[in-house]
Amino acid sequence: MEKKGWLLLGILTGVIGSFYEFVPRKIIKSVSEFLIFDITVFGYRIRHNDLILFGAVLLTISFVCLYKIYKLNKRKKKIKN
Amino acid sequence: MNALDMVYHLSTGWAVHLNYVAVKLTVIFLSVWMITQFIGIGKEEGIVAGILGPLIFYVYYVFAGATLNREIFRIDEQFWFVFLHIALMILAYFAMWNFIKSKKHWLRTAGFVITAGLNLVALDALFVMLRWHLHGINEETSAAMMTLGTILVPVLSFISAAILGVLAEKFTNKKYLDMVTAAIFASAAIGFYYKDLTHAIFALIFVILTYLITHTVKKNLASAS
Repeated sequence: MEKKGWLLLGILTGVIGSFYEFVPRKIIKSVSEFLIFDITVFGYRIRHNDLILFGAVLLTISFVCLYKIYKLNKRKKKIKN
Repeated sequence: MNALDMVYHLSTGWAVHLNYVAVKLTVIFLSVWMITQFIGIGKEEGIVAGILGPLIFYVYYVFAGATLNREIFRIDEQFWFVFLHIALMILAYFAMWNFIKSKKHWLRTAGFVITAGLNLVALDALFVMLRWHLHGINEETSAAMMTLGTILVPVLSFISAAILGVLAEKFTNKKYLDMVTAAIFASAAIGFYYKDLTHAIFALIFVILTYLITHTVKKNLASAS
């Protein structure tokens, strides 16, 4: 994947991850209730903490993407020099 | 890292329970796996992975709802635990790093004993907690049952088994003898102490799996470089 792809993935996962992680529960519930709340998956009811974990996973992916971009930039600079 | 963390928490009176261990494992596995898979393996990468996992885990703690009664259980949700988790992560990462990359034989051996021993302790603790969960024991009872005494025998058995395996390989130089020795010793020690055949069988499986995975990872990394 190129730098642009990593950047896009980083921003996307960062925005969605931050939404589920930092936005208060009531707002998430009113905005996206139909998507994730009170849904049973294979007999397991999705809870608020599962959404927080989902947000944490997306934030992890986002940070790794940013680190990858930093490494790509560093390598580019090294090649130029 | 999880194994070191559990041993620390249980020996200092902090609660350990399946939910948080599962979350820790998920976040830490993801950060280490993504960094090694897409960026690389190195000292800088190790430090970044060591910081990222515990930081994200702390963020989870801050925003997740409490599942255990804080008046009864002490949970590692204070900010200073981030530094402890980072230190433990870096220790675990560099144990594996030394096992794979070090040119010094004693460092490779120490790295292997720490990596394999801790991996086995974590698998065994997960097995114990998962078993309680499947038997319908609720989170608070399970957290109260999880004490240092629960994992002390597995910790001693697995670390001794890994050391015995290293010695067996050193003196006989036979392939797989380290794994066989470690598996039999750990399984017998746990089986005799707990008088529990299922636990002993799982200990045997965990040792075999850990040895096969650790050696395969090392072999693949060596052939890739």
